[in-house]
Amino acid sequence: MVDASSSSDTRPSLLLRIRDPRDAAAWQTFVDVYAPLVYAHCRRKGLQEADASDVTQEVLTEVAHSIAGFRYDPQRGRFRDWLGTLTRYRLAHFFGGRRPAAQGDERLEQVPAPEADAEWTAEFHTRLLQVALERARPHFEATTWRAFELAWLEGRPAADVADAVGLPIEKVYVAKSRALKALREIILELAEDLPLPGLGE
Amino acid sequence: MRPCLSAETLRRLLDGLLSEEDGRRSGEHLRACPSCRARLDQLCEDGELRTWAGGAGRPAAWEEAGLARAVAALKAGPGLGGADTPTGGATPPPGPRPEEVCAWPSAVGPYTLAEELGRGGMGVVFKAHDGALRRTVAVKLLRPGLADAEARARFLREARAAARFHHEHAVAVYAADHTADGLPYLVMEYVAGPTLAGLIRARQRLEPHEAVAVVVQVADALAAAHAAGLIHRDVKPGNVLLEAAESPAGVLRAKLADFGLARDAAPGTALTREGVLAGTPAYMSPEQVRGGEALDGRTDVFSLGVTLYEALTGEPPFRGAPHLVLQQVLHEAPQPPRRLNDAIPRDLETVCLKALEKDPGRRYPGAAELAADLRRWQRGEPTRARPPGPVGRLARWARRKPKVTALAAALTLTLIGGTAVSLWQWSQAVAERDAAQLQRDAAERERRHALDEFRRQRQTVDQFLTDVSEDPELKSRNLEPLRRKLLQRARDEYERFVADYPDDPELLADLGRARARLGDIVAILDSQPRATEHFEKARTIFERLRREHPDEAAYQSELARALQRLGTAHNAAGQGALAEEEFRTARALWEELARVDPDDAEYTYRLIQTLNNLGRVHQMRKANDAAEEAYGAGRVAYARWAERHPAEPRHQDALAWLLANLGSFYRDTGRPADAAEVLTEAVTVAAGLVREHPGVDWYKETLFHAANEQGIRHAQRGEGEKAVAAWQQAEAAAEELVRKHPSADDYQESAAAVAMNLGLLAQYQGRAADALASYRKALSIHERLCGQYPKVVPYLVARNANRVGLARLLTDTNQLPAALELWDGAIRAWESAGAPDKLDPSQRWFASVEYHERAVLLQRLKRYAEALADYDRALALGTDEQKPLWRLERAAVEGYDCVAKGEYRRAATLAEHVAGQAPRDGYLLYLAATVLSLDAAAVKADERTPLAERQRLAEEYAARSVRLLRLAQQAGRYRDPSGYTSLATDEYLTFLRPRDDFQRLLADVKAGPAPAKP
Repeated sequence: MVDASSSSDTRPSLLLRIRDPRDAAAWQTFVDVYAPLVYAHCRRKGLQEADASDVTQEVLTEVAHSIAGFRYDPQRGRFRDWLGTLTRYRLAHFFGGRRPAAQGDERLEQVPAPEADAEWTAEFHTRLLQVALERARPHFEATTWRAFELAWLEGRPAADVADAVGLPIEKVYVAKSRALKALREIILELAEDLPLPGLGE
Repeated sequence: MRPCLSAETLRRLLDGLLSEEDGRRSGEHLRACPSCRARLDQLCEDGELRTWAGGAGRPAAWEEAGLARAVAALKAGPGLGGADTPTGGATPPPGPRPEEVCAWPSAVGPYTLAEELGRGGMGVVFKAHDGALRRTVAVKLLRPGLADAEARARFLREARAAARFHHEHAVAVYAADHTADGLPYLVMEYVAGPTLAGLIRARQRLEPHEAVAVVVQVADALAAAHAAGLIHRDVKPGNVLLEAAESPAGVLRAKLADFGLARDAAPGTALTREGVLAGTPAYMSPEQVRGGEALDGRTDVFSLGVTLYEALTGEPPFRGAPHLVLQQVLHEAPQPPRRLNDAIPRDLETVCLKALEKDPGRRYPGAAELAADLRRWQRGEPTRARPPGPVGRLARWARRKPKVTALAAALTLTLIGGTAVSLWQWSQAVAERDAAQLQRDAAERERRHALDEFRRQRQTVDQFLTDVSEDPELKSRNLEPLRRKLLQRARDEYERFVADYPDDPELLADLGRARARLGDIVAILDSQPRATEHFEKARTIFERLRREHPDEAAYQSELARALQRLGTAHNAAGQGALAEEEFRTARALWEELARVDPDDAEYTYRLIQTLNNLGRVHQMRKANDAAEEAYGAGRVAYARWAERHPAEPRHQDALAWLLANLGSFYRDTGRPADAAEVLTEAVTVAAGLVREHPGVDWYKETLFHAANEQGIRHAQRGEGEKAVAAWQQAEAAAEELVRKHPSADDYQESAAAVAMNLGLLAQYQGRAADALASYRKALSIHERLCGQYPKVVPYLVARNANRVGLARLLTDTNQLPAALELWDGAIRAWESAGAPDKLDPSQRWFASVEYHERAVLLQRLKRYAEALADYDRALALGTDEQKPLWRLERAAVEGYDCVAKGEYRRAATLAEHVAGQAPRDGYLLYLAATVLSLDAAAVKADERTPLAERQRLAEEYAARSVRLLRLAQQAGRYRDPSGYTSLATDEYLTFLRPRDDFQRLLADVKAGPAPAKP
């Protein structure tokens, strides 16, 4: 039975596109979005600049390998959690390598379950939102964007925002609604999980 | 201040759909109205993003050289970054492989390699210069990593096969050799032009005659290859090379390259097992994908069909990730090419689809026949390929869905005549619609015809849907799977309508209606909440139409219908607030329509219906005033119509439902008098409908609903007579429905439910005979349903409730064996369903009570051992409140058992235990006394014991028994008037009756309770 398709008019998800080795632009975007996330996470975990750089490369390279070979299975979890797990594994390897007493593979067992790591989830969301904001901004007029920033990011009442930026109040709402829609669309494109494999009848 | 903004206005404002003027006016209102601002704030919030926003807006941390280095390295290509590649890469990473960047030699043998021309699964092709013959050639080198023995064997095979075969439309192979390091290579004719794949990419697609010209040449080459016993097995646009110079006639010259997978078709030469990489998924034939079967030339016919398809439309028929492509190749019919490009002539489409048949037997038998048919097309002659007619279509459908077809056939032949007719009509519609699509040309006349056809077919499917979803016969659980299948077929049709919807504004309204019906089906098949999506799309369409045609009442009413459906769906999803909004907007639309055209029966009908819905939602949300207002408005709408028009049955029907709901509302808000009034009115209206339209089942359902509600109200108020009358009316309606539709389980269930109500009431009123009759009637229905559906839990539950009720009634009337039989059945039913420890708390409670009741019954039947076993089961499941009493009861029953077994002392000990544990409990003291009384009688009659001893013990037990009865009396037992009779006739106490002390007790009980102490 065919499932009603939900997002026919959106662009294919980035995670789908990076499966295609010829789609260089997709890979570049992927690196731009996710490398800073992994890198920052490594730094927060106490890695030096050079080590964080290495681990980031390892993690993203592994994503490339796994995603092209379908070893990432969306049925077993969301991309967000999967990326978090890869990062933690790499970090565990890294620390394991530094401390000869610890056996690398045993340490893997101690890696917290992906769903337990609220910190990673928050970092992931923050990063996605940050990228989405950067990418959406150029599509809006300065005043409109400012109105959205004040009304949504800073949570100021619509009437105040209207006075502050010199827009009619209804336009403030329109700005907010449009910007939120744009953000959501961008985030979907950047992080939407792959279609499940093996959909037969 | 202006009235608050409607939900629709707010939505349109956010979507930027308000006119400048409306926007400005809304802005003014918003400035003044905090409540509208709050609603708007809520509407344009994104809850998920909001939770993400905690950390956003902060400057990005860690902008430093380490990150820049990682990003730069990664962008250069993953896998090059770390010295230690983490996974070892079983699959190629994006980007070029490192070894390929620099590992190729600059010359092989006498050939100087120039630029790379392309790469395939096994090797890379270079343009090269043949120094000896001074010509340009193409040299194909095996990838170094693949240069193992098997790969070399394959490479050589290619060379052998290709070298044996010459054709003007196949790339010639000159030589095969290997380099000094053992790297094998192949020297081929150099073709200067692009590949067909490149041309399609550059030009989007080819003109039909160009595409055919190319494919005909390739087909010729394949025909020759097949005749020579060779199968290509990797025909695709990337392997069709085109000569740079077009021939004078403007025809592209094509050459088929890369017999890389070719192998001898002659038997006995199958050299290798199939590798997964053999072939390119999007161009593989189904038999190639399946593997394991002998391939023949028809696999190339298929791949060439794919190539033709892609050349004509610009896209291969099967697309997506490789595993999805393979699924499609195996199971999905390609979209007809004309849907992608209607400039493709119909005959050519037919040729292309014939080459793409899944079953090789239905394809052209070989490339030669395909080439011949393509030439016929080029000459304008009729082709041999025929579009599949209705029969072919159905046959194809049947092959795909064998189970459904069998089901549908069974249906047509045996099950239900009425629906079979519409099924047939519908099948016809499918066939004709497909045919119509094949015929649709650009001409306006044809378009008109197609639009009409589209519409007519949608209506046919509408009718089919109505028949299937409303036919009570189909609501039988036996037929439920069939009903679902039929509905699924209708849903598939609607989905196709929606997907194929010709982009024609004239059809937008039809699309909206199809969406709405699709939602209706999804609501039935799946769940109301899932239907929301479709209803919302329907709403959007009709909102747009209404905006564009503000004077068109039809669009306004369609919009209102969509909102009603949406409201119902939201309500079912527990989204009361959303449902309320939708119903409110729908109400406003219907009110406007009814105001403009007060003589339109439909508007008034829908208005009453909407107000009923709205009232119900308000009622559930405890907005009592609003609920009453809505229900009231519905009555007014009805009255307004009735003043000036003859009665409309559907108005009356909607009114009856509204009144029944209003009655339940009054009942639940403590207004019994109002409830009585409106429920009476509801029953009167419904009964009138049934009288005047005896043929309409639906009205009987209405009457059943209203009368049942009325019965409940009366029963709750203790108005027994009236409750009986109402329920009898409901019962008559249900039984009439059962008579007409003996296989409709819903009606049977209704009849059983109301019979149970009547039985319960009769039992309560002490009319044992009536109660027995009603319970038995209900039980016979329940037994039938459970016999037919032994796994349907609600039926099992209802039957058990029925059995238990009847068992209690039989116990009260002292028909103990019959009662026990029912208890056995009831308990066995749930025992067989699973282990007691799997029961949830409420089930445990019921189970324990039922064991206990059966234990009591068994005890009365003197089957003590079984009674004790039931007590143990009840105690294992019972709650802490139940257990203390049951333990002591059990001890008493054990006492009876001991008496029966001759263990007199133990019986007496048990009796004393019970009395000692409950010195102020009249009932338990009485039980202890009965044990001792029976004990006394038994010991006295036991001839194994010496007479004196017997007499002494009997006297001791009997005296103690009377003392316990005296204590029981003091604890309050025998206080009510029936106490004397029960004490005087209790068979457990027979032994005591001659005794003076017992007679004194009896006299005291007869005299009544002692005057209360001051």
